[in-house]
Amino acid sequence: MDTARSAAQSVRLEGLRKEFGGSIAVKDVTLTVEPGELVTLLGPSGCGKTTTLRMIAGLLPQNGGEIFFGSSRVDHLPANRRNVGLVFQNYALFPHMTVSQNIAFGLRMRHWERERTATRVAELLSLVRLEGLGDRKPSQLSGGQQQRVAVARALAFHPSLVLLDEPLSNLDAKLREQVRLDLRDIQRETRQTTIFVTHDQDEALVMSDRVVLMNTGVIEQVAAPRHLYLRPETEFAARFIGANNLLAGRVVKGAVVVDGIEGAFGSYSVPDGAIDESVWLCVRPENIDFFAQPPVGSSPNPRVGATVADIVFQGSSVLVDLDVRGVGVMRAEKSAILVGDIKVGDSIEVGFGGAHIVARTAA
Amino acid sequence: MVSSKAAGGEPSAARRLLVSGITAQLPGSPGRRERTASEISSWRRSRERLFFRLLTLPAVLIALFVAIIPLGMLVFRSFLDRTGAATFANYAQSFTNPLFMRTLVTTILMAVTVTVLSTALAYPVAYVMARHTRLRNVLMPAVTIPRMLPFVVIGYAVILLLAPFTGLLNKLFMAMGIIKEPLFILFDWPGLLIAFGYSGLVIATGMLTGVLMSVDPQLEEAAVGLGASRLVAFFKVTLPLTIPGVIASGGIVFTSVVTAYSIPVMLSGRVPFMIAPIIAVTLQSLGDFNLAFAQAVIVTILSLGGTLGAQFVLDRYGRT
Amino acid sequence: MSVNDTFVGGKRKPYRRGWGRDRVAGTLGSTALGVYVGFIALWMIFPMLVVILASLEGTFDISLIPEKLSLDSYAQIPQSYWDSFWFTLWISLAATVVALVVAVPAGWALVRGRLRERRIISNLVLVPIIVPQLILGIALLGLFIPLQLKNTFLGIMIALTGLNLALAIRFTEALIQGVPEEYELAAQSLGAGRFTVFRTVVLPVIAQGIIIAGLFIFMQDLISFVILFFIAGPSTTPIAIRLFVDIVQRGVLPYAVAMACVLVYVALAFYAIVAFIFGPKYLTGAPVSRKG
Repeated sequence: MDTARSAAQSVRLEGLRKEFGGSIAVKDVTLTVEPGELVTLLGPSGCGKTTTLRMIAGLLPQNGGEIFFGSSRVDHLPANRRNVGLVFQNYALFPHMTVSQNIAFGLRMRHWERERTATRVAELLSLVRLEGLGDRKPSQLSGGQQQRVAVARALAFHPSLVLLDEPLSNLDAKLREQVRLDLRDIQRETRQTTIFVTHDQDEALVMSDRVVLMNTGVIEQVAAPRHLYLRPETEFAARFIGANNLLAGRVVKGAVVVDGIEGAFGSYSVPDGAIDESVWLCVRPENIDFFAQPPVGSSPNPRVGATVADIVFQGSSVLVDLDVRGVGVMRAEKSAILVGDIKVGDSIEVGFGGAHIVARTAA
Repeated sequence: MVSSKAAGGEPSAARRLLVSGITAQLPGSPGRRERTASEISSWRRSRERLFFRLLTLPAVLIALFVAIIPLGMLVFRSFLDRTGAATFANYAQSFTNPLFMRTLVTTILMAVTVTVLSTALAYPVAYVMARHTRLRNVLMPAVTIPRMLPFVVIGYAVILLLAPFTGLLNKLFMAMGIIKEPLFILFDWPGLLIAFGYSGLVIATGMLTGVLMSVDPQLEEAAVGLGASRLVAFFKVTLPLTIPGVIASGGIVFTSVVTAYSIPVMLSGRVPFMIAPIIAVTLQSLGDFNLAFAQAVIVTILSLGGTLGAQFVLDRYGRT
Repeated sequence: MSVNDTFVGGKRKPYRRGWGRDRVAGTLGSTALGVYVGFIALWMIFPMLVVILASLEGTFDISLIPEKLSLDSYAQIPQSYWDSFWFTLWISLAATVVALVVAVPAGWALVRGRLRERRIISNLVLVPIIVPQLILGIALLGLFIPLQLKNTFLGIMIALTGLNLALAIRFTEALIQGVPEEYELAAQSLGAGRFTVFRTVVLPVIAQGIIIAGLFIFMQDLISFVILFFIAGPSTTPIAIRLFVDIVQRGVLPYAVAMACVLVYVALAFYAIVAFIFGPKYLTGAPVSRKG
């Protein structure tokens, strides 16, 4: 029934809730996605991200909460009336239809005239770079090509919203990297509001405008990728995003004292939720500095002695496992040049620059 | 806009109630009363369930009419006598009828023999067919087409083979000098055995092929790799895994022989061996429906019971 | 490296596939097995061959080396037999079509509908083929007489449809379970209502399987005997029953043998159709046989 391209809409979730039998899969999820934004739901298996996606699509009924597309509430609409483009993990291309027929399916459901359909299908084939393959059957295409057909099919009818459920997990690593960027480019070109579900954080960080980190049915943190990486707000986020070294400590007079290390680190205020001002000091592997000698004079951040326990060459970077005195094993990551001639067994001094703290909620 | 908890808490229940109250009461107000999400989804769900239930309705009605109701009536009426009064007489009469009981025994004997024989004969064939795809495609017609033939064909064939003077077998044996006089086995139990054996073989081969195909051949190969000979691997790995399927197949064969009607009638002599024609006579010649129903119930319990009993026994044996 | 390798004094002997006892036994065993299987296969098609031979020789006093072959016995097939044959053909076709029309939506509803009573219904529909046909036939007689359905087209239709339904639903359930539910969810998200989903996505994908199931069910109806024996009558006589009655009353007649051969040819044609048009893989896997 649309005559022109639909303007992208916002999506608002209010207190969304889903129970399966006795267990709660999604608990009080509240989120707003701006028009044209690409938001990723990220989290480990079972965190509720796919369940949330399916409720937005209307494929799963909710136990509580509301869903709005733009300013209209859509809860009461069944899946086939929500005007949502859905891309499945296994693509779900109709095997008995050609690529063109697959792409045109949504248009057929909306009773578009033949000519208009043909034009639109051609547009999409060129958008996903599959020109000339319109008459093939899905079984004749490679995995990557099938995925692009699935995307084209979901975009064909100018949906209010595009939802992708782990669309890259069936592709091999090299292809995944390429397709990731392709999808982001397509999204930027079409400016569709998009929600993406994945358990792969690299994907999430590369593609999203914002990342919604979920854990056991609740939202842990919502932030732009950079912010999420540099400033995780919960222990779960700190552990889940990127590699991290977490040191137990407490905030004392505006600085952090780490158990086992003399001296206090930086200037921090006590985060919300910290019990007895106890915190984790989060040190990213790339933020561990190596020093050959103990410091001269006092330094803003304490340095600690450490022994090199293991060195793993990764190509452009090197992983160095350190046995840090008083603390235990920490993992550092440095570019090969900066590591120099360090060998296993060497004693060095390490410092932690740019560390971040999160609340420690258990003793 | 980011929040893990809506600022200021959720829209209060009071506010929601107020809104819904107003919209419900205002005359001619557009839009429906605000529903909660779970109300909407359960309403949608129950409508969906109704839709699916309606789709299954014709099937359920047909099944009721063709099977449940007639069988129910059969069992019910087996407990009535000619005047309609409740009684066990039909059963008592059957169990004390020497002809009925004797025939029952010979029927069971025949069925057990046929089941064991046809399963044993079919098993190696099924094994070969399951393991060798090319051979299977060649042999498939031989196994499948006989199942598409009416039993009369088998009856004809057996008669053509075993007839005393004109039958192929007798002519062959006499020509070869094996026997001096023709064998009169056609209308006696050997003829029956051969006919049932054939049909049992056909059924068993078809079913056992499926059973053996479901056993992963790699299991046998693993056993051989661990040092077993092919034969031992078969007996210790494959065979035990096929036992449930063998029982199922045996049950089908057993039931088909116990309740067989056409072949016994076609090939019968003066002494009845099989029980089904006797029930038919009770039904059609004597017209005593209720008695026939009781006999039918007895036979059903026997045939289904045989299968269940075998399953039970082998379950316990398998556990040791 | 096989278990036939031998170690001698710590040094491994060069691997040579000699004719040890194991290998002889193995080869003998395989050969014996092969011969046995061939013999059984021959035995299984033997009745068909015998019957065809008899029809061509025109007598039941057959010899393996025939003197003359003719199609006379076929020409002698009486009109009543052909009437029965066509009757059986039509009624089997009708019963198959009705069963499929009822079974396919029902099977879909059972697999996708998430109904609590799914197992009960599934098992209920299977009862006609679990119960021995003899018993079912007798039971139907008990029901049909008061309803005056004995010796009627409708009566036989109903009985056959009941049997067909059981097989058809089993087949349909298996076929639909093989279709990933994602296809249906995708179609829904693209705007298709439930019924449209069924029509445009589910049906086309299972179509081939349904056709083959239909062929199989049709064949079973064609040769149906026991269940119809009690409820059929003079004006509604399936061919299997007519042949049976004649052989019991009048013995083996050449034209009856010829008619039986016609049924054999139909079975052969069925096999050829399925094997060559659809592929031999459809013939493995054994649904319950409805012999009786």
